[in-house]
Amino acid sequence: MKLTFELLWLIPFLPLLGAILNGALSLGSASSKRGPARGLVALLAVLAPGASFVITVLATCKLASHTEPGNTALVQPLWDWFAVAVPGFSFKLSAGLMFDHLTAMMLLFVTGIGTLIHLYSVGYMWEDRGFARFMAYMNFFMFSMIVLVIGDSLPMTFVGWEGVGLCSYLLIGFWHQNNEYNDAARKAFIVNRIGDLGFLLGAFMLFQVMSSNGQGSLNYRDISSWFQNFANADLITSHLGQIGAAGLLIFFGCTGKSAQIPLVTWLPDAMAGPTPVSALIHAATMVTSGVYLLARLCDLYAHATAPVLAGLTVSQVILLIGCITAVWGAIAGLLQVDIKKALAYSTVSQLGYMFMAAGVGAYDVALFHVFTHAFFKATLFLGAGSVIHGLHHEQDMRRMGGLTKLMPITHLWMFWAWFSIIGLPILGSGSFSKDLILDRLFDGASWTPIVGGVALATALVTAIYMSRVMYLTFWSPSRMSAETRAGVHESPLIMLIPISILGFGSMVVGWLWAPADFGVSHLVDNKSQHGIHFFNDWLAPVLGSAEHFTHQLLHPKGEGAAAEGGLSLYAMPALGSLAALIGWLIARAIWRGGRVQGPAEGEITGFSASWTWFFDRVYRVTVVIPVQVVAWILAWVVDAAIGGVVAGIAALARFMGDGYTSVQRPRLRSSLALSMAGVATLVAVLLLQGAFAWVVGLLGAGVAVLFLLLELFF
Amino acid sequence: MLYALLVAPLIAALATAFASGKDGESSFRLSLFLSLLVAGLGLPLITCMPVLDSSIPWFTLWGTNATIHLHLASDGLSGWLIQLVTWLTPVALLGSRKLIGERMREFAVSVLAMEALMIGALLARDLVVFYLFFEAMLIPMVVIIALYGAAERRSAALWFFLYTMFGSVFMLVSIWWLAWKIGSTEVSAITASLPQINALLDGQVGRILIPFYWLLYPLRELVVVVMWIPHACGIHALDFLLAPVDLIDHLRHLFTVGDLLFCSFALAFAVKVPLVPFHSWQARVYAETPAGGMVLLAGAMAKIGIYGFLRFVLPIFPALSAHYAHYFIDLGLVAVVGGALIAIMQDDAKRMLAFSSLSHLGLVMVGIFTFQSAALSGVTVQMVAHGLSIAALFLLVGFLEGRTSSRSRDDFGGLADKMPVFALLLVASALASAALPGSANFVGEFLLLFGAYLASGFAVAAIAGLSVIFGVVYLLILVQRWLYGKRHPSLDTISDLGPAEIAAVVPLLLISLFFGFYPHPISSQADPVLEAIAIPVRQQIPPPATALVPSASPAPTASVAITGAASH
Repeated sequence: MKLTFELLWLIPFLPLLGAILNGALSLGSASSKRGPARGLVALLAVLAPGASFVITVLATCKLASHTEPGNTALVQPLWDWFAVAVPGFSFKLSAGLMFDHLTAMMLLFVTGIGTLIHLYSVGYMWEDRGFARFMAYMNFFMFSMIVLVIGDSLPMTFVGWEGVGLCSYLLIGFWHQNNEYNDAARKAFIVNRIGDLGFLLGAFMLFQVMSSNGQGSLNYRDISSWFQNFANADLITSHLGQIGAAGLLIFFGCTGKSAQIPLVTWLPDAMAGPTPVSALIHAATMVTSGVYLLARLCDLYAHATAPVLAGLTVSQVILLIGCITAVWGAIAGLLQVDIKKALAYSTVSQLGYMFMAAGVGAYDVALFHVFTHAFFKATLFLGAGSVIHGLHHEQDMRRMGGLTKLMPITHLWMFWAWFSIIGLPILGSGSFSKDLILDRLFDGASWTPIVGGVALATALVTAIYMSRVMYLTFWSPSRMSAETRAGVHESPLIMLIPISILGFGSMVVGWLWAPADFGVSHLVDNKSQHGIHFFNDWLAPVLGSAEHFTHQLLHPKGEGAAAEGGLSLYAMPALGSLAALIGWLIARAIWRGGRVQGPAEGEITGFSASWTWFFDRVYRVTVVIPVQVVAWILAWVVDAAIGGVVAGIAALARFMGDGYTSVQRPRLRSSLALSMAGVATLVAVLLLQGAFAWVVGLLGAGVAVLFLLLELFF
Repeated sequence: MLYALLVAPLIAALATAFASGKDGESSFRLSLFLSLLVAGLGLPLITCMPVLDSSIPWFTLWGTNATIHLHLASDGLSGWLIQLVTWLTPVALLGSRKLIGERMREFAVSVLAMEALMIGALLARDLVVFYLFFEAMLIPMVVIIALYGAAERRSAALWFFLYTMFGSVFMLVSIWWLAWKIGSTEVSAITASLPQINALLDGQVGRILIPFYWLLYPLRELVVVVMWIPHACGIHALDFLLAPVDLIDHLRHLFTVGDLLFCSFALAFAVKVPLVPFHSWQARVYAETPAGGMVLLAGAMAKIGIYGFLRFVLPIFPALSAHYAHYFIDLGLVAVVGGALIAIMQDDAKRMLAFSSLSHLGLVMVGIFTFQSAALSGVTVQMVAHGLSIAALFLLVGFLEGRTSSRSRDDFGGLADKMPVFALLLVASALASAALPGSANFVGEFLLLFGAYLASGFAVAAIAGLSVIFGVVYLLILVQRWLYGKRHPSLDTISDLGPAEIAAVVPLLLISLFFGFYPHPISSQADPVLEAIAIPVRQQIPPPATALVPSASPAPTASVAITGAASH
């Protein structure tokens, strides 16, 4: 069911307006020493996403007030964008906005957390000369991210998809005097673009499949209804290979945006950007857009049941990639000494968890982890930013420690975010979503429970590396120089307020979906049997059909549906908490004294220096260098050879021309005579019939004109 | 109306030549005002008078009984390309105010004359009339290059003149042949009488191009040797790079009259676009031409080459176009990938843009020769979009060259702080050129790739889509080297763009932004025209090979599709 909501366009438009105004302020004051009035910039920059958040809440209320069964969405068609004509029909793509339950959930945290991080940025970037430019980029990012989730078709999403990539590029390279940062920014953009090609080709392929019965479309509602339509079941079966390939290509695009193997290499370098950027773009919002897209196209992935790569279906590929990335990210996170890079690793690893959930068809669980992760990871990044700010741009954990008393509020909320990410129960939202993922993995078919075991082990490693971060930063003896120690200060209120709100959020948002609720749900609602299911009930209109389909494939006879009950409800939380506890204790034993592996000072070498070392080297050998070699050959051999042939022909003609002119002078007149003779020959020959005459005439004319030109110019 | 539009820039040129004062400023103002008037005069072609047609007999071509008509007509395709010309002319003048300085009058006259000739070429529906305009265009362009170009301007002007002239002289003979045999040189009349002269067209002329085969033999061997490397590695996805070899081998074949006619037309336009392997003039000419000239040369004149394919080659030779289409697709792919890769290697920013242009227009050629509706819809949008974005880039490079007399990628750094407006415009133009969504280039490229995928399969679309990746690489390198990093002390006094310079670039970007979200005005008018052109060609294509669609078989992986569909 479609409802119209006239204010929908304001949600993306307001941040865009903020970006334009702040951009204009930044440009207008380019020549002044201090830049535009900071208060005005800050007001515009924070109000714009804030207002978007308010409208999102209004739209969500309107959406919630319609309780008819089926997929309800608020829509606002904007204008006809372009048409794709194929034999038989023409598909008109309209640029439009769609606000359904999935969009509502994404937008609430994108605009909500986004606004808080904007507020934080005001404090963090206040002293920077490029303050207005920074805020303009941030607002533009909000606009792009909103378009990404509110667009009603693949091309609309692609607008946001590329837009967030662009903002990521601009913000990573924000301090652009440093060429290393610029390289990191360029790498992020190019790697993302490689994924984008997969996105485009996948969209084309999907369209072609749906065109086979004349219903080709790129609109999300059309796509899901095409796959849900039983009349298309035969078509789907006969196009399984193509559907799988389309899904694989689109997933390739997602690996770029969400920093999964194989396109993982850009995210660690992206930490070159200012810390609020890392929190907003590279932890809470943009990197999760790959998971969003999978969920958005869940009907496609649910129906892509044929093996497409190495005997695996697309979903299995997603599951495996997610698993490998999660393990790899967690292990790499253990080796970092830069606090931001440790968190970046952790993000990659957590994204792996989300993809694992999507790989077993539990899209709602994946999104739940997106949601909780946004809170606790944003808190961790903002807390890390607060530490970096307090220590005057020190990011090296080897030179931290003992900050608990010096930065009590930062520590308090980072503690709760840590509590959440390692999976300690009840007051940590991370445990709720992570245990659900583990539950779905152990519930899966054939080898999926093995992946579940790996994921559980990874949870242990997660607890170790996150506790290590906390020990090295807060809970170990101080390793700061006396000078630094004297300068340490708690961050200003404008930074602490967002941290506190997000930190508190990371404590409680898990309760939106608590299968094992210790009886709490009976206090809320007597009817529900087990737990609170607010979150997945909310998403069910969008994801329900695909999940039902996957569930039927897994449990054709209907068993397993009743498994949610009794002791098993508490089994996963217990296991997850146990892993967290053990990990914490291990970390406590090792790092309580502030011991760090490797040199205590100076540059880090080896694996911990560059955690994508492996991928960077492999890509350098397999992609970058071959491209450079081919480009070199093309530029300096092939192109030069083509030019050489042309120059050779010209030289030959010139030689003949010179030889001729040295016989007869004056040059111009004689050459004109020659040309006239040539034309006369041409006419004469042409007047004769026959193809051969035509050829002679053709060559004669060419030679004559050439001589004429040579005479004129030399 | 059409005659007025044709004559108006000429009058403007004359007025500028005689009415303006000696100083640059007055002729600049007068010519700018008049060119804006002309742009206004051209607007009805796309708004209230989308189809116009008028014809008057002119003279009889000697040796034939064909009466040449001064036949001018406008439709959606011509109309939009004329907009490109009339919009870019004031931009070229605006952008040249600082660069050209006191010698503005001659420059303005040349630019306006060129505008008139390009409009003439786009309106002409008679081959002889078209040819006259098509060739005469060279003269003002050569004047601009030879008088206002950079250090190597004389040799560049010569290259340009000789190469393009040589390309089109064969077309002249072919036109003459058509006039002689058919008795008319109007496109519609020729198209109508083609069935009657089919027997003549099929007459064989022997292996007459074999000397060229031996001339190009070393090149052929070079490509074969280079391609041995991927073959030895078992990679067959790059086989499209062997297209030049096929083409050279084709020179040994028996030729028919029709083949020769087709080739002579195609050669003339392929040189103008340019298409690989006829691009050798491009980089050296683009590098030496002043920015204002480049706006018209890369922005508009290159499109007249493509226009020639659409307006003349496809309608007159539908069967041969379908027959030779795979060469053009392969060469287009070579241009797309090769152009972008060579652009990465260029240090000279203008040469880089030249190869980028080669790459982007190669994609347009691929789109045309798929004859697919979506791709054709992208062709016009992409022509307009590319005209706007490449003009903006050349202007910006020109502005910097005017300030420092260098256009090397490595000579600058850290300009973003000193020239924020320049930085913003350069980044925006680069992103538009790289087809970021929001720019008209995105719509064009999206439709072209989509059409290529639907008509020619996954491999063609994937290879053409590499431009999506490589296009970002060279532009971002340029942006990074120029704008970011440490600034050389000598650049501390450099000034940001002035009002005239900003006014020249900003409208281009705004128009691109507008069409990026609303290409409807272009496609609604141009699509029916292109569709009508493509229908007779499509009828000549044998039924599509179903193998291109990875069908019911359960395991066609992406990699299988790449190698499998490479043989389209």
